[in-house]
Amino acid sequence: MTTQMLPTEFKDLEPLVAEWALTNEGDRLAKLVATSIPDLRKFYDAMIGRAEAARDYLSALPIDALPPEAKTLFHLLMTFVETAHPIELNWTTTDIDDAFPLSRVTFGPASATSPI
Amino acid sequence: MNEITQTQFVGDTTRLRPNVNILDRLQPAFYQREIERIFKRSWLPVASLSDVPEKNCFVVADVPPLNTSLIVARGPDLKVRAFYNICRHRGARLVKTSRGCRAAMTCGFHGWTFATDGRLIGLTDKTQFDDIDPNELGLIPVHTEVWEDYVFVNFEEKPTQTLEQWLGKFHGEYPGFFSNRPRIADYRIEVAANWNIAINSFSEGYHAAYVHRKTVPDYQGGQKNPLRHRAYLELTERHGRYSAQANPNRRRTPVEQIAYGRGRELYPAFPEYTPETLPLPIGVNNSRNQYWGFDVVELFPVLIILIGAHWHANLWFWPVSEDRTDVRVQFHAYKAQTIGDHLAHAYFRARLREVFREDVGTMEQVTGVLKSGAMANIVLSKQELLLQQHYAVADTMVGQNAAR
Repeated sequence: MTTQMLPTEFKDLEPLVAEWALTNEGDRLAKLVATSIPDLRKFYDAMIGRAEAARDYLSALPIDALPPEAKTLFHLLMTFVETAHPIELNWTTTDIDDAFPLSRVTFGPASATSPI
Repeated sequence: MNEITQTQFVGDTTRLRPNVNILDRLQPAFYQREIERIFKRSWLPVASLSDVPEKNCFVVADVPPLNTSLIVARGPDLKVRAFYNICRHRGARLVKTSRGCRAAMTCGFHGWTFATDGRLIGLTDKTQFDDIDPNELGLIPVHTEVWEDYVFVNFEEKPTQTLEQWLGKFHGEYPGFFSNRPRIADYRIEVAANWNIAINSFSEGYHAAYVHRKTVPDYQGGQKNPLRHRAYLELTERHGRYSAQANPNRRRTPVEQIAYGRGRELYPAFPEYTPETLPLPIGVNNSRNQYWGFDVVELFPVLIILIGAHWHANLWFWPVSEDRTDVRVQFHAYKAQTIGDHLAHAYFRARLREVFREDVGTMEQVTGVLKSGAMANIVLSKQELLLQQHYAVADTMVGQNAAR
C-alpha cells in the first residue's frame, strides 16, 4: 500500500518529506539548529532546483483549499525558505554563535501554527 | 547629490547628554523609582487590536513592573476596554488562558461570571450573600485608549494627559498603516537584562555593521553610506524615530529571489521608494528617501516599532526587575492572498528573527558585564541620539539627574 505524499509533478522530493515538511516556524527552527551544515546543504541542494517550480505550482492553487499533497509540498517549501540562510550566507554552523539560545524562546500562536 | 549620507536631525536636542550613568539604573532602589515615576504615570501599550478582532474577544496582557495582569476585551458594544484580571469575589485570577472569544468569563474559584464589558452577570448562590449589589462588583477598569492598532492603558487615578497628548505629533502621522496586517510570528523571552539596556539595543543602527555582520551583511551601507548613517532622525517630547537607509547594491540570494518572486519584497530587501509605487503616511520614511530601508520608532517607555514598506514588528521591553526584562516580539506583514505571499512571509520571518536573536544576545551580555561596577557611564554618539533621548525622558520623569 502506498500513499501519495506530494503532487505527482514533485514526487522526486518525497524522500525529504518525513524529515523536512514541518508545519510551523518553531519546529523548523528547532530542526535547523539540530542539523549540521553538511546535512543542511544536502537538503538545500535537493530543493534549490525545484523550489521555483513548486512555488509557481502552489501559487496557482486556491489558498483556502489546498489538497493534502499540495499542503505537504507547501510545508516542505516553507521549511526550505526558512532554513536556507545559513547556506546562502556561508555560515559555518546552523546557529549563530552570539544569538540568544533557542531553548529560552517561547513561540506564540503565530509562530507555533501553520497559516493555512 | 553624490555625497556620503549625512543624517537629517529634527527636534530639540538641548536637554540631551552624550554621557549617561547606567550603573545607578541597575540598583533595585532606582528601579523602584522608575516603577513609581515612569510606569505608573505613562500611557503603556499593552495589546493590539488584532488580539481582539471581534466582539467578546479578549486577551490577557501582563504588565510585569506593576505586578499586574490585565484583560483587554472587546465588549458586545465593540468598545475595547482593559480591566484588572481579578475576580471581584476573592481576588482570584479570572482568566488563566492567554486569549479567547466568548461572551462570558467565569472564575474557576467560585464560578462568578463577567461579561466582556466588565459587568458581573453571574453570581453563584446569591442568596447567601448579605447586602450585595452585583452592579458594584464589575471588573475593575483601567484607563484605556486606542491609537491605530495599539491598545494603551494608564494607571494614574486621572491621567494627566490624553493618549493623543502623550504621543504628540506621532499621533496623527500613521493613519491606518498598521491595520489589516496579520501577525506572522511571535516570541517571548525573559532576558537577564535591564529594561533600558534592552530597549537600547533596538533604538540605534550603529551596531548593525558589527552585531549583524553574519545575518544581514550588506542590507545597509554601500558606497554612498559606508558608515551607515541614519538618513533621518527625529525627537519629540518623549518619543523618537529614525529611518535606516538601504544599500541599493545589496546582493540578493537565490532563495530570497524565489521567496519574494511571487510576493512582495520584505526585509532585508527594500523596494525603492517612489510616491506612486509606495504610498506611505507622512510619519513613515519622513525624509522620502529613495533608498529607504525601514523606520524605527521608540514609543517611550516600552515599545519599539520597526516599520518597513509592507511589514512592521512590535518589540515590547517590560521590566520584571532591575536586571530582568520580559521581551515580547511580534512580526506583522501584508495579508497573504496566495501561497507565494506565505513564502515571502516565511523568508522575512526567518531573516528578521535571526537578527533579533543577535540583538537579544547583546543586551544580556552588556547588563552582566556592567554589573561589575567597573564603569558607571556610557558614551553615546549622534547616531545614538534616541538613546540619549530615552535617558533624558526617563530622568525627567524619575526626577533626578542620573548622569554625574
